[in-house]
Amino acid sequence: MKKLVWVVLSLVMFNCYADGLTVVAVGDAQEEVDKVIFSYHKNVTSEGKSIIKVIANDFGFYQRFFKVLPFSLQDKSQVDNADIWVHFTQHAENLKVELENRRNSLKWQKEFSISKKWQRRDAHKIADAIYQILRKKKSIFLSKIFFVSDRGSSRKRPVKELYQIDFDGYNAKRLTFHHGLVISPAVNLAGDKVLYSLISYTKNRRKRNINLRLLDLKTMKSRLISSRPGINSGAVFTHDDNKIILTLSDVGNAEIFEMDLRTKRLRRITKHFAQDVDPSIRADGQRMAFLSSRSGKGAMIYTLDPRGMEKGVRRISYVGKFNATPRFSPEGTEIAFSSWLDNCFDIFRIGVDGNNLVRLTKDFGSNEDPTYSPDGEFIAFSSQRVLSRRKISQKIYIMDRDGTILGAITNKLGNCITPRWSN
Amino acid sequence: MIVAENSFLNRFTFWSIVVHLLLAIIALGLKYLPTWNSSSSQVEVIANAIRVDVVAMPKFTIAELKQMQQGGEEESVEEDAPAADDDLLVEKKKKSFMELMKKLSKKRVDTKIEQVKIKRKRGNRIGKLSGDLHKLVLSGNKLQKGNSLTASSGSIADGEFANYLQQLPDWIRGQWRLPTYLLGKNLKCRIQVYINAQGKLLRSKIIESSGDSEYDRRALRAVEDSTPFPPVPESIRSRALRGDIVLGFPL
Repeated sequence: MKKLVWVVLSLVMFNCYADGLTVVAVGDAQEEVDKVIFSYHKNVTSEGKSIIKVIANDFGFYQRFFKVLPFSLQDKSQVDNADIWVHFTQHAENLKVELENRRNSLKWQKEFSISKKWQRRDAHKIADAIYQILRKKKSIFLSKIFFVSDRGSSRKRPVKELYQIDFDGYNAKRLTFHHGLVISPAVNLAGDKVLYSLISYTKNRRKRNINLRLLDLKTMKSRLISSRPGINSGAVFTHDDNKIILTLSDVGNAEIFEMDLRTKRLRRITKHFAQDVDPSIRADGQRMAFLSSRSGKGAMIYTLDPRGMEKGVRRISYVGKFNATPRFSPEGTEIAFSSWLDNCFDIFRIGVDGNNLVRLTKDFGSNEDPTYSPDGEFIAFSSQRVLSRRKISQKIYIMDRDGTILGAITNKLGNCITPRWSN
Repeated sequence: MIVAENSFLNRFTFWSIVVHLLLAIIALGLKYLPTWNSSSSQVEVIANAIRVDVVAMPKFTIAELKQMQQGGEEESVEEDAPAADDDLLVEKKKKSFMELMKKLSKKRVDTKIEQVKIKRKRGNRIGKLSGDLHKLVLSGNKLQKGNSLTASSGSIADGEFANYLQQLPDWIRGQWRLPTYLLGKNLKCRIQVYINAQGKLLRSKIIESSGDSEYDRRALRAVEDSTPFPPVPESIRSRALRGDIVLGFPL
């Protein structure tokens, strides 16, 4: 027995001194692009084919995940090359979708009713259903982008009005008719209310004020929310639709407040001798990004807890001549912003902890006002090009979150600025 | 009496050893069993950390950095066009005023072209830098994922071993790809690798499966596609050879 004990003891001692295994963390994998093909039976009508074309176009936006293979009835060879095969057949006014993911043997099918008076939104709904089966999350296919355009403006009478457009650049619609200057729109989570500021003049046009208004997209009625002296602007909705966060300057300098839309009662969030503007709220409402000159080195990005006053203030950016429009990603893990570099604005993104500062745009005009798509995969922004001494062109573009430009979504809509992506 | 005391002492020593052994085994078991089911008694984990180097706004975009990383690997050498044989082209004709002016303007253009060439060459130098400096230039101001090491005994061999291991994640990550449906499933697998002095993979085995065969297969393929690994320093060859290295996908 004694011998056995000594043997075990010596084994334990040896094991303690021997070198052990060392685990090296390789890190997260890169996503593999799936080849997807949208094929159809010869019985599919021209309406059905148009819908399939829209669906394929929608999937083309997600270049990081999908490569859409071309399909024609004459050449079906590409079907065998696809990782994901989506096949359409039509029975009267029903379009049947059959999906096969060859990577994981997933199969799915569903019928959608279509009519001759189909709209792009019907196609987007089918595309979203397919996307949700494949990626288990909502797509951007039913989302809209709100922006301000100077369409119809003249040098004598400058006009900027609020518009909305589908994510793919179709169905542009004018929403306001103030014949004035609209700035800084913001949309609520449900996508049925828009806050915006309107630059209003007194009757003799000697004085002007930036007033805050709210547009109800269901009734299309606009009402005044705040008209305090000075700035009433940069407003955003919180996760509670009845509360907004805005910048007011009637206290002396620009400060950020929370306002209850029902009582109009204000609660101060920032209190500093420096200017604090441009708030952006994280989806959970527990963190707010804003711009402040409190560092004394130009406009820098800060975050704080908006549930208190000057609570948990943290400086995020330490570089940049002039930073502007910080916007939280939907997950709240990063902030996209524009910054003045090489004589123009460009888009950057940074982690909420101040890490991973990366540049997204370069040599592509002057790029401002980034806004994340609801799923965080894309960023819309306004890009300006100087055409001549008196003429500039400003359009809304979409890029993926790594800076690959997908293209302009506004065309012949005047100079378009301040895009805001809604659900 | 003395015999009785000795017998008591022996019994006391015996049971003391037994109790201590049991305590040691229980302590070891408590330390490793919940997180590790391998036969190994000593596991060191090297995980990602952040190294902060912000000095100014980044000049390069993500796309440019990726492109430069790809371009940097394939070093292209620009060869200048062979110089014209001046001896053979001796111009004897008397030059007119117009020709002189043309020549002058050509000189200016040539100088400009040369300047552009020099600038381009300077730009290309980024792709010709080697090692850490190359990586640093490519990274710009982007914050880098580094590696944090757990405490070690501090010998030179351990330092070399840690340095060697730090190279592996970057070496493998390029081959580590997953299809959409496997991402976000929070899967994890660990692979033990046996590497010889030249960096050749001798053997790899899954010691902790993710539970998804496709995930495990892709992790194994990433390891196999990454071979050969960097050559192993002499002082740590025995450790690499006997399979002390475990690769965690992702951790």
